[in-house]
Amino acid sequence: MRRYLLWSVAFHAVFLFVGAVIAPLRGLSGPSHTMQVVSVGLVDFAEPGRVKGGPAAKPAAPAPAEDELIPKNPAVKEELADVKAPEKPKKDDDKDKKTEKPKTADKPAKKDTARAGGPALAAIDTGGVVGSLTEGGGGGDIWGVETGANVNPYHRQGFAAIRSNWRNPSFGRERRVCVVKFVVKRSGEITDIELEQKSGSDLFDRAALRAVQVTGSWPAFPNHWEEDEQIIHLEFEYRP
Amino acid sequence: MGLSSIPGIPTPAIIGGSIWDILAGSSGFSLLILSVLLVLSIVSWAVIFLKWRSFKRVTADSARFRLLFRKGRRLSDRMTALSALQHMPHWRVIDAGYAEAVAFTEQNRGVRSGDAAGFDLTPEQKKAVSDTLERVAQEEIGRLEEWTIFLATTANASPFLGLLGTCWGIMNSFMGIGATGSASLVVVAPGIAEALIATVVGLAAAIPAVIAYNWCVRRLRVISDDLSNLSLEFLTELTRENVRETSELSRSL
Repeated sequence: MRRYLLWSVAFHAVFLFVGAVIAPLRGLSGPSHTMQVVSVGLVDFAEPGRVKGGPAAKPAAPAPAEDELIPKNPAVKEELADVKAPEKPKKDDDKDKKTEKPKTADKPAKKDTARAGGPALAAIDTGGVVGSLTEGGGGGDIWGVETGANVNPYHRQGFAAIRSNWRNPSFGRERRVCVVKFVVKRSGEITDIELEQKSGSDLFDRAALRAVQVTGSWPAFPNHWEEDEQIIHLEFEYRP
Repeated sequence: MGLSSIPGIPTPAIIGGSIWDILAGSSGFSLLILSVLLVLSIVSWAVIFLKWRSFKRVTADSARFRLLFRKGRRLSDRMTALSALQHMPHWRVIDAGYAEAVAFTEQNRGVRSGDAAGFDLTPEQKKAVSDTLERVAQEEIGRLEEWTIFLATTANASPFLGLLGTCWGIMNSFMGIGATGSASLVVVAPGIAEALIATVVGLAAAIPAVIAYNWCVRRLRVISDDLSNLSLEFLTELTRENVRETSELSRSL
Protein backbone atom coordinates (compact mmCIF):
# COMPACT_ATOMS: atom_id res chain seq x y z
CA MET A 1 0.00 0.00 0.00
CA ARG A 2 2.80 2.37 0.83
CA ARG A 3 4.25 2.03 -2.61
CA TYR A 4 0.88 2.87 -4.14
CA LEU A 5 0.51 5.85 -1.86
CA LEU A 6 3.76 7.17 -3.20
CA TRP A 7 2.52 6.54 -6.70
CA SER A 8 -0.65 8.40 -5.97
CA VAL A 9 1.16 11.36 -4.45
CA ALA A 10 3.33 11.53 -7.53
CA PHE A 11 0.25 11.35 -9.72
CA HIS A 12 -1.42 14.22 -7.89
CA ALA A 13 1.73 16.27 -7.89
CA VAL A 14 2.09 15.85 -11.63
CA PHE A 15 -1.56 16.71 -12.16
CA LEU A 16 -1.35 19.86 -10.08
CA PHE A 17 1.93 20.83 -11.66
CA VAL A 18 0.57 20.42 -15.15
CA GLY A 19 -2.53 22.35 -14.24
CA ALA A 20 -0.80 25.17 -12.46
CA VAL A 21 2.37 25.62 -14.43
CA ILE A 22 2.35 24.01 -17.81
CA ALA A 23 -1.21 24.39 -18.95
CA PRO A 24 -1.29 28.18 -18.67
CA LEU A 25 1.98 28.40 -20.53
CA ARG A 26 0.87 26.17 -23.32
CA GLY A 27 -2.60 27.59 -23.37
CA LEU A 28 -4.02 24.18 -22.65
CA SER A 29 -6.45 25.39 -20.10
CA GLY A 30 -8.64 26.97 -22.69
CA PRO A 31 -9.12 30.68 -22.79
CA SER A 32 -7.48 32.30 -19.85
CA HIS A 33 -10.34 34.49 -18.93
CA THR A 34 -9.66 37.42 -16.78
CA MET A 35 -12.31 37.82 -14.21
CA GLN A 36 -13.60 41.30 -14.45
CA VAL A 37 -15.07 42.21 -11.18
CA VAL A 38 -17.17 45.23 -11.64
CA SER A 39 -18.84 46.96 -8.83
CA VAL A 40 -22.45 47.40 -9.53
CA GLY A 41 -24.54 48.57 -6.68
CA LEU A 42 -27.72 46.68 -6.25
CA VAL A 43 -29.33 49.41 -4.31
CA ASP A 44 -30.79 52.79 -4.89
CA PHE A 45 -28.71 55.86 -5.01
CA ALA A 46 -27.74 57.40 -1.79
CA GLU A 47 -27.54 60.85 -3.14
CA PRO A 48 -28.51 62.15 -6.47
CA GLY A 49 -26.21 61.09 -9.15
CA ARG A 50 -24.09 58.90 -6.96
CA VAL A 51 -23.87 55.21 -7.18
CA LYS A 52 -24.06 53.71 -3.79
CA GLY A 53 -22.41 50.48 -3.09
CA GLY A 54 -19.63 50.95 -5.51
CA PRO A 55 -16.90 51.08 -2.98
CA ALA A 56 -16.69 47.64 -1.63
CA ALA A 57 -14.70 48.27 1.44
CA LYS A 58 -12.66 45.35 2.56
CA PRO A 59 -12.95 45.01 6.27
CA ALA A 60 -9.54 46.49 6.69
CA ALA A 61 -10.12 49.45 4.47
CA PRO A 62 -11.85 52.41 5.99
CA ALA A 63 -15.17 53.40 4.58
CA PRO A 64 -14.86 56.00 1.90
CA ALA A 65 -14.79 59.40 3.35
CA GLU A 66 -17.49 61.88 2.55
CA ASP A 67 -15.31 63.99 0.39
CA GLU A 68 -14.49 61.04 -1.77
CA LEU A 69 -18.08 60.88 -2.73
CA ILE A 70 -18.06 64.32 -4.14
CA PRO A 71 -16.90 64.11 -7.66
CA LYS A 72 -13.86 65.98 -8.56
CA ASN A 73 -14.55 68.55 -11.14
CA PRO A 74 -11.42 70.14 -12.24
CA ALA A 75 -11.82 73.00 -14.54
CA VAL A 76 -11.91 71.84 -18.02
CA LYS A 77 -10.49 73.71 -20.84
CA GLU A 78 -13.23 74.21 -23.24
CA GLU A 79 -12.08 73.41 -26.63
CA LEU A 80 -14.69 71.19 -27.93
CA ALA A 81 -17.61 72.66 -29.55
CA ASP A 82 -20.75 71.32 -28.13
CA VAL A 83 -21.93 68.43 -30.11
CA LYS A 84 -25.55 68.09 -30.48
CA ALA A 85 -26.79 64.74 -31.33
CA PRO A 86 -28.99 65.36 -34.25
CA GLU A 87 -32.32 63.78 -34.71
CA LYS A 88 -32.26 60.53 -36.41
CA PRO A 89 -33.75 60.61 -39.78
CA LYS A 90 -36.28 57.95 -39.02
CA LYS A 91 -37.46 58.88 -35.61
CA ASP A 92 -37.47 62.48 -35.01
CA ASP A 93 -40.37 63.46 -32.87
CA ASP A 94 -40.01 61.15 -29.98
CA LYS A 95 -36.47 61.93 -29.34
CA ASP A 96 -36.32 64.93 -27.17
CA LYS A 97 -33.22 64.92 -25.20
CA LYS A 98 -33.64 65.59 -21.60
CA THR A 99 -29.97 65.73 -21.15
CA GLU A 100 -28.42 68.89 -20.25
CA LYS A 101 -26.29 69.98 -23.09
CA PRO A 102 -23.78 72.67 -22.67
CA LYS A 103 -24.70 75.05 -25.39
CA THR A 104 -21.33 76.35 -26.17
CA ALA A 105 -17.97 75.74 -24.86
CA ASP A 106 -17.56 78.70 -22.65
CA LYS A 107 -21.06 79.03 -21.33
CA PRO A 108 -21.72 77.45 -18.02
CA ALA A 109 -24.34 74.85 -18.31
CA LYS A 110 -27.80 75.75 -17.23
CA LYS A 111 -29.79 73.59 -15.02
CA ASP A 112 -32.16 71.87 -17.27
CA THR A 113 -35.66 72.25 -16.04
CA ALA A 114 -36.95 69.74 -18.45
CA ARG A 115 -35.24 67.04 -16.54
CA ALA A 116 -38.24 65.24 -15.29
CA GLY A 117 -37.70 63.85 -11.87
CA GLY A 118 -34.02 63.62 -12.46
CA PRO A 119 -31.73 64.33 -9.60
CA ALA A 120 -30.02 67.59 -9.46
CA LEU A 121 -26.51 67.41 -10.63
CA ALA A 122 -24.04 67.08 -7.89
CA ALA A 123 -21.91 69.52 -9.68
CA ILE A 124 -22.46 71.60 -12.69
CA ASP A 125 -19.95 70.95 -15.34
CA THR A 126 -18.68 73.69 -17.34
CA GLY A 127 -18.61 71.82 -20.50
CA GLY A 128 -18.18 68.52 -22.06
CA VAL A 129 -19.13 66.23 -24.82
CA VAL A 130 -22.52 64.82 -25.19
CA GLY A 131 -22.98 61.52 -26.78
CA SER A 132 -25.87 59.25 -26.95
CA LEU A 133 -26.41 55.57 -27.40
CA THR A 134 -29.72 54.40 -28.55
CA GLU A 135 -31.33 51.11 -28.96
CA GLY A 136 -34.23 51.11 -31.25
CA GLY A 137 -36.80 48.48 -30.62
CA GLY A 138 -39.43 48.09 -33.23
CA GLY A 139 -38.10 50.84 -35.36
CA GLY A 140 -35.58 48.62 -36.98
CA ASP A 141 -32.78 50.83 -35.78
CA ILE A 142 -29.61 49.13 -35.11
CA TRP A 143 -27.52 50.11 -32.17
CA GLY A 144 -25.52 53.06 -32.96
CA VAL A 145 -23.73 55.97 -31.59
CA GLU A 146 -25.59 58.98 -32.58
CA THR A 147 -23.10 61.35 -33.80
CA GLY A 148 -23.33 64.65 -35.35
CA ALA A 149 -21.51 65.25 -38.51
CA ASN A 150 -18.90 67.11 -36.61
CA VAL A 151 -18.32 64.59 -33.87
CA ASN A 152 -14.74 63.80 -33.47
CA PRO A 153 -13.73 60.29 -34.58
CA TYR A 154 -12.05 59.88 -31.24
CA HIS A 155 -15.36 60.14 -29.45
CA ARG A 156 -17.10 58.03 -31.97
CA GLN A 157 -14.61 55.30 -31.31
CA GLY A 158 -14.93 55.68 -27.56
CA PHE A 159 -18.70 55.60 -27.66
CA ALA A 160 -18.58 52.54 -29.81
CA ALA A 161 -16.39 50.83 -27.22
CA ILE A 162 -18.86 51.63 -24.48
CA ARG A 163 -21.71 50.62 -26.66
CA SER A 164 -20.13 47.21 -27.21
CA ASN A 165 -20.09 46.70 -23.46
CA TRP A 166 -23.65 47.79 -22.96
CA ARG A 167 -26.12 45.05 -22.29
CA ASN A 168 -29.39 46.81 -22.41
CA PRO A 169 -31.77 45.13 -19.98
CA SER A 170 -34.86 47.04 -21.03
CA PHE A 171 -37.63 45.78 -23.15
CA GLY A 172 -41.26 46.46 -23.47
CA ARG A 173 -43.09 49.65 -24.19
CA GLU A 174 -41.36 52.06 -21.90
CA ARG A 175 -38.84 54.48 -23.21
CA ARG A 176 -35.79 54.69 -21.01
CA VAL A 177 -33.20 57.35 -20.96
CA CYS A 178 -30.39 57.82 -18.53
CA VAL A 179 -27.29 59.90 -18.67
CA VAL A 180 -23.92 58.85 -17.38
CA LYS A 181 -21.28 61.42 -16.85
CA PHE A 182 -17.64 60.54 -16.68
CA VAL A 183 -14.24 62.08 -17.02
CA VAL A 184 -11.68 60.95 -19.53
CA LYS A 185 -8.11 61.69 -18.65
CA ARG A 186 -5.51 62.50 -21.20
CA SER A 187 -4.18 58.99 -20.95
CA GLY A 188 -7.59 57.70 -21.85
CA GLU A 189 -8.38 56.55 -18.36
CA ILE A 190 -12.03 56.85 -17.43
CA THR A 191 -12.77 58.11 -13.99
CA ASP A 192 -15.49 59.74 -11.93
CA ILE A 193 -18.31 57.77 -13.40
CA GLU A 194 -21.63 59.05 -12.23
CA LEU A 195 -25.21 58.67 -13.04
CA GLU A 196 -26.32 62.07 -14.09
CA GLN A 197 -29.86 61.33 -14.91
CA LYS A 198 -31.89 58.39 -13.81
CA SER A 199 -34.14 56.58 -16.17
CA GLY A 200 -36.56 55.39 -13.53
CA SER A 201 -35.31 51.86 -13.87
CA ASP A 202 -32.47 50.89 -11.60
CA LEU A 203 -31.63 48.00 -13.81
CA PHE A 204 -31.28 50.18 -16.83
CA ASP A 205 -29.20 52.72 -14.94
CA ARG A 206 -26.88 50.09 -13.60
CA ALA A 207 -26.40 48.53 -16.98
CA ALA A 208 -25.42 51.90 -18.36
CA LEU A 209 -22.99 52.58 -15.52
CA ARG A 210 -21.56 49.15 -15.93
CA ALA A 211 -21.03 49.66 -19.63
CA VAL A 212 -18.85 52.64 -18.88
CA GLN A 213 -17.07 50.93 -16.01
CA VAL A 214 -16.28 47.82 -17.97
CA THR A 215 -14.90 49.88 -20.80
CA GLY A 216 -12.41 51.20 -18.30
CA SER A 217 -10.38 53.29 -20.61
CA TRP A 218 -10.38 54.92 -24.00
CA PRO A 219 -7.45 55.46 -26.24
CA ALA A 220 -5.19 58.28 -25.22
CA PHE A 221 -6.05 61.70 -26.53
CA PRO A 222 -4.67 62.71 -29.88
CA ASN A 223 -1.46 64.61 -29.48
CA HIS A 224 -2.74 67.93 -30.68
CA TRP A 225 -5.41 68.10 -28.00
CA GLU A 226 -4.28 70.24 -25.21
CA GLU A 227 -6.70 69.57 -22.37
CA ASP A 228 -5.86 67.21 -19.59
CA GLU A 229 -9.27 65.72 -19.34
CA GLN A 230 -12.70 65.88 -20.80
CA ILE A 231 -16.06 65.53 -19.24
CA ILE A 232 -18.38 63.35 -21.21
CA HIS A 233 -22.11 63.15 -20.83
CA LEU A 234 -23.36 60.03 -22.42
CA GLU A 235 -27.00 59.39 -22.89
CA PHE A 236 -28.24 55.85 -22.98
CA GLU A 237 -31.56 55.42 -24.52
CA TYR A 238 -33.89 52.57 -25.13
CA ARG A 239 -36.64 53.19 -27.58
CA PRO A 240 -39.45 50.75 -27.78
CA MET B 1 -8.21 46.09 -18.23
CA GLY B 2 -8.23 46.48 -14.50
CA LEU B 3 -10.93 48.54 -13.00
CA SER B 4 -8.85 49.87 -10.21
CA SER B 5 -8.83 53.05 -12.20
CA ILE B 6 -12.31 53.76 -11.02
CA PRO B 7 -12.14 55.52 -7.71
CA GLY B 8 -13.88 53.92 -4.82
CA ILE B 9 -13.59 50.50 -6.32
CA PRO B 10 -10.81 48.47 -4.82
CA THR B 11 -8.69 46.34 -7.03
CA PRO B 12 -10.53 43.10 -7.38
CA ALA B 13 -9.23 40.23 -5.34
CA ILE B 14 -9.11 37.92 -8.29
CA ILE B 15 -7.52 38.97 -11.48
CA GLY B 16 -6.63 36.61 -14.23
CA GLY B 17 -8.83 34.14 -12.47
CA SER B 18 -7.86 30.71 -13.57
CA ILE B 19 -8.84 27.95 -11.22
CA TRP B 20 -5.29 27.74 -9.92
CA ASP B 21 -5.22 31.40 -8.98
CA ILE B 22 -8.35 30.92 -6.98
CA LEU B 23 -6.83 27.88 -5.31
CA ALA B 24 -3.75 29.87 -4.46
CA GLY B 25 -5.83 32.68 -3.08
CA SER B 26 -8.14 30.67 -0.90
CA SER B 27 -7.67 30.79 2.79
CA GLY B 28 -8.39 29.38 6.22
CA PHE B 29 -11.26 27.03 6.50
CA SER B 30 -11.63 26.35 2.82
CA LEU B 31 -7.94 25.58 2.62
CA LEU B 32 -8.43 23.04 5.38
CA ILE B 33 -11.30 21.46 3.50
CA LEU B 34 -9.26 21.42 0.33
CA SER B 35 -6.34 19.73 2.09
CA VAL B 36 -8.59 17.07 3.55
CA LEU B 37 -10.06 16.48 0.13
CA LEU B 38 -6.59 16.28 -1.36
CA VAL B 39 -5.58 13.65 1.19
CA LEU B 40 -8.76 11.68 0.51
CA SER B 41 -8.09 11.90 -3.18
CA ILE B 42 -4.48 10.77 -2.79
CA VAL B 43 -5.40 7.79 -0.65
CA SER B 44 -8.28 6.79 -2.86
CA TRP B 45 -6.11 6.89 -5.94
CA ALA B 46 -3.53 4.79 -4.14
CA VAL B 47 -6.29 2.28 -3.40
CA ILE B 48 -7.37 2.41 -7.02
CA PHE B 49 -3.86 1.59 -8.22
CA LEU B 50 -3.50 -1.15 -5.62
CA LYS B 51 -6.80 -2.81 -6.38
CA TRP B 52 -6.32 -2.51 -10.07
CA ARG B 53 -3.03 -4.32 -9.85
CA SER B 54 -4.19 -7.07 -7.56
CA PHE B 55 -7.49 -7.74 -9.31
CA LYS B 56 -5.78 -7.69 -12.64
CA ARG B 57 -3.36 -10.37 -11.54
CA VAL B 58 -6.16 -12.50 -10.16
CA THR B 59 -8.38 -12.26 -13.21
CA ALA B 60 -5.49 -12.72 -15.61
CA ASP B 61 -4.54 -16.03 -14.05
CA SER B 62 -7.93 -17.39 -13.12
CA ALA B 63 -8.61 -18.89 -16.54
CA ARG B 64 -5.22 -20.58 -16.50
CA PHE B 65 -5.86 -21.82 -13.00
CA ARG B 66 -9.12 -23.43 -14.02
CA LEU B 67 -7.46 -25.02 -17.02
CA LEU B 68 -4.71 -26.53 -14.91
CA PHE B 69 -7.19 -27.67 -12.29
CA ARG B 70 -9.18 -29.64 -14.83
CA LYS B 71 -6.17 -31.07 -16.54
CA GLY B 72 -4.74 -33.81 -14.33
CA ARG B 73 -6.34 -37.11 -13.57
CA ARG B 74 -5.91 -37.03 -9.84
CA LEU B 75 -6.09 -34.27 -7.32
CA SER B 76 -2.50 -34.79 -6.24
CA ASP B 77 -1.27 -34.26 -9.82
CA ARG B 78 -3.36 -31.17 -10.14
CA MET B 79 -2.04 -29.73 -6.94
CA THR B 80 1.48 -30.21 -8.21
CA ALA B 81 0.66 -28.44 -11.46
CA LEU B 82 -1.16 -25.64 -9.70
CA SER B 83 1.68 -24.89 -7.31
CA ALA B 84 3.08 -22.61 -10.00
CA LEU B 85 0.19 -20.26 -9.26
CA GLN B 86 0.67 -19.90 -5.56
CA HIS B 87 -0.01 -16.19 -5.59
CA MET B 88 -3.65 -16.80 -6.42
CA PRO B 89 -6.36 -16.82 -3.79
CA HIS B 90 -7.73 -19.84 -5.62
CA TRP B 91 -4.59 -21.75 -4.79
CA ARG B 92 -4.82 -20.94 -1.11
CA VAL B 93 -8.41 -22.16 -0.97
CA ILE B 94 -7.71 -25.42 -2.75
CA ASP B 95 -4.51 -25.95 -0.82
CA ALA B 96 -6.26 -25.61 2.53
CA GLY B 97 -8.95 -28.06 1.49
CA TYR B 98 -6.43 -30.51 0.12
CA ALA B 99 -4.28 -30.40 3.25
CA GLU B 100 -7.34 -31.01 5.37
CA ALA B 101 -8.43 -33.95 3.28
CA VAL B 102 -4.97 -35.48 3.37
CA ALA B 103 -4.79 -34.99 7.14
CA PHE B 104 -8.13 -36.71 7.69
CA THR B 105 -7.13 -39.61 5.44
CA GLU B 106 -3.89 -40.19 7.33
CA GLN B 107 -5.71 -39.99 10.59
CA ASN B 108 -8.21 -42.62 9.46
CA ARG B 109 -5.62 -44.98 8.06
CA GLY B 110 -3.16 -44.40 10.84
CA VAL B 111 -0.32 -44.17 8.33
CA ARG B 112 1.35 -41.71 6.13
CA SER B 113 -0.56 -42.30 2.97
CA GLY B 114 1.50 -40.64 0.34
CA ASP B 115 -0.94 -39.79 -2.37
CA ALA B 116 -1.34 -43.04 -4.20
CA ALA B 117 -4.41 -44.41 -2.63
CA GLY B 118 -6.90 -41.58 -2.92
CA PHE B 119 -8.75 -40.34 0.11
CA ASP B 120 -10.46 -42.02 2.97
CA LEU B 121 -13.00 -39.63 4.49
CA THR B 122 -16.18 -40.02 6.45
CA PRO B 123 -19.11 -37.78 5.48
CA GLU B 124 -18.53 -35.65 8.58
CA GLN B 125 -14.94 -35.15 7.54
CA LYS B 126 -16.03 -34.21 4.05
CA LYS B 127 -18.31 -31.63 5.59
CA ALA B 128 -15.38 -30.33 7.57
CA VAL B 129 -13.31 -30.03 4.39
CA SER B 130 -16.15 -28.17 2.71
CA ASP B 131 -16.36 -25.80 5.66
CA THR B 132 -12.65 -25.21 5.49
CA LEU B 133 -12.89 -24.40 1.80
CA GLU B 134 -15.65 -21.91 2.50
CA ARG B 135 -13.81 -20.31 5.37
CA VAL B 136 -10.59 -19.82 3.43
CA ALA B 137 -12.52 -18.46 0.46
CA GLN B 138 -14.15 -15.93 2.77
CA GLU B 139 -10.75 -14.98 4.15
CA GLU B 140 -9.39 -14.48 0.66
CA ILE B 141 -12.35 -12.33 -0.35
CA GLY B 142 -11.83 -10.32 2.80
CA ARG B 143 -8.22 -9.82 1.89
CA LEU B 144 -9.17 -8.65 -1.60
CA GLU B 145 -11.81 -6.37 -0.14
CA GLU B 146 -9.27 -4.62 2.02
CA TRP B 147 -9.23 -0.84 1.47
CA THR B 148 -12.15 -0.87 -0.92
CA ILE B 149 -14.34 0.50 1.83
CA PHE B 150 -12.14 3.55 1.75
CA LEU B 151 -13.24 4.16 -1.81
CA ALA B 152 -16.86 4.05 -0.71
CA THR B 153 -16.12 6.49 2.08
CA THR B 154 -14.37 8.90 -0.25
CA ALA B 155 -17.16 8.60 -2.77
CA ASN B 156 -19.77 9.46 -0.17
CA ALA B 157 -17.94 11.97 1.97
CA SER B 158 -16.06 14.08 -0.57
CA PRO B 159 -19.04 15.80 -2.14
CA PHE B 160 -20.32 16.67 1.29
CA LEU B 161 -16.99 18.04 2.37
CA GLY B 162 -16.90 20.10 -0.78
CA LEU B 163 -20.41 21.29 -0.10
CA LEU B 164 -19.39 22.26 3.40
CA GLY B 165 -16.56 24.34 2.03
CA THR B 166 -18.89 25.91 -0.48
CA CYS B 167 -21.51 26.77 2.10
CA TRP B 168 -18.84 28.24 4.31
CA GLY B 169 -17.50 30.40 1.52
CA ILE B 170 -20.89 31.63 0.48
CA MET B 171 -21.75 32.36 4.07
CA ASN B 172 -18.63 34.47 4.30
CA SER B 173 -19.53 36.28 1.12
CA PHE B 174 -22.89 37.19 2.50
CA MET B 175 -21.32 38.28 5.75
CA GLY B 176 -19.11 40.49 3.64
CA ILE B 177 -22.15 41.98 2.02
CA GLY B 178 -23.63 42.59 5.40
CA ALA B 179 -20.49 44.17 6.74
CA THR B 180 -19.92 46.53 3.88
CA GLY B 181 -23.52 47.18 3.07
CA SER B 182 -22.62 46.60 -0.51
CA ALA B 183 -23.79 43.87 -2.75
CA SER B 184 -21.16 44.59 -5.30
CA LEU B 185 -19.56 41.78 -7.17
CA VAL B 186 -16.22 42.78 -5.77
CA VAL B 187 -17.36 41.61 -2.38
CA VAL B 188 -19.29 38.60 -3.49
CA ALA B 189 -17.45 37.14 -6.42
CA PRO B 190 -14.15 36.05 -4.86
CA GLY B 191 -15.90 34.37 -1.99
CA ILE B 192 -18.27 32.52 -4.22
CA ALA B 193 -15.61 31.51 -6.70
CA GLU B 194 -13.48 30.23 -3.86
CA ALA B 195 -16.48 28.51 -2.41
CA LEU B 196 -17.28 26.70 -5.60
CA ILE B 197 -13.72 25.45 -5.87
CA ALA B 198 -14.38 23.30 -2.82
CA THR B 199 -17.27 21.62 -4.55
CA VAL B 200 -15.22 21.14 -7.68
CA VAL B 201 -12.42 19.47 -5.77
CA GLY B 202 -14.89 17.39 -3.79
CA LEU B 203 -16.48 16.09 -6.95
CA ALA B 204 -13.09 15.53 -8.53
CA ALA B 205 -12.15 13.36 -5.58
CA ALA B 206 -15.48 11.57 -5.45
CA ILE B 207 -16.10 10.66 -9.06
CA PRO B 208 -13.08 8.39 -9.59
CA ALA B 209 -13.75 6.82 -6.22
CA VAL B 210 -17.35 6.04 -7.15
CA ILE B 211 -16.35 4.49 -10.44
CA ALA B 212 -13.50 2.53 -8.89
CA TYR B 213 -15.65 1.31 -6.04
CA ASN B 214 -18.31 -0.02 -8.37
CA TRP B 215 -15.66 -1.69 -10.44
CA CYS B 216 -14.14 -3.26 -7.33
CA VAL B 217 -17.49 -4.53 -6.14
CA ARG B 218 -18.13 -6.13 -9.48
CA ARG B 219 -14.68 -7.73 -9.63
CA LEU B 220 -15.03 -9.02 -6.10
CA ARG B 221 -18.31 -10.65 -6.95
CA VAL B 222 -16.78 -12.35 -9.95
CA ILE B 223 -13.83 -13.60 -7.91
CA SER B 224 -16.07 -14.75 -5.11
CA ASP B 225 -18.23 -16.74 -7.53
CA ASP B 226 -15.07 -18.15 -8.98
CA LEU B 227 -13.85 -19.32 -5.62
CA SER B 228 -17.11 -20.98 -4.64
CA ASN B 229 -17.32 -22.75 -7.99
CA LEU B 230 -13.78 -23.96 -7.51
CA SER B 231 -14.60 -25.23 -4.03
CA LEU B 232 -17.53 -27.18 -5.39
CA GLU B 233 -15.40 -28.65 -8.14
CA PHE B 234 -12.79 -29.60 -5.60
CA LEU B 235 -15.37 -31.34 -3.43
CA THR B 236 -16.67 -33.24 -6.42
CA GLU B 237 -13.18 -34.46 -7.21
CA LEU B 238 -12.68 -35.37 -3.59
CA THR B 239 -15.84 -37.46 -3.67
CA ARG B 240 -14.70 -39.16 -6.85
CA GLU B 241 -11.41 -40.16 -5.27
CA ASN B 242 -12.85 -41.04 -1.92
CA VAL B 243 -12.24 -44.71 -1.24
CA ARG B 244 -15.14 -45.06 1.19
CA GLU B 245 -17.72 -43.73 -1.15
CA THR B 246 -16.52 -45.80 -4.08
CA SER B 247 -16.52 -48.97 -1.97
CA GLU B 248 -19.98 -48.13 -0.65
CA LEU B 249 -21.12 -47.56 -4.17
CA SER B 250 -19.74 -50.90 -5.38
CA ARG B 251 -21.31 -52.65 -2.41
CA SER B 252 -24.71 -51.22 -3.12
CA LEU B 253 -24.59 -52.29 -6.74
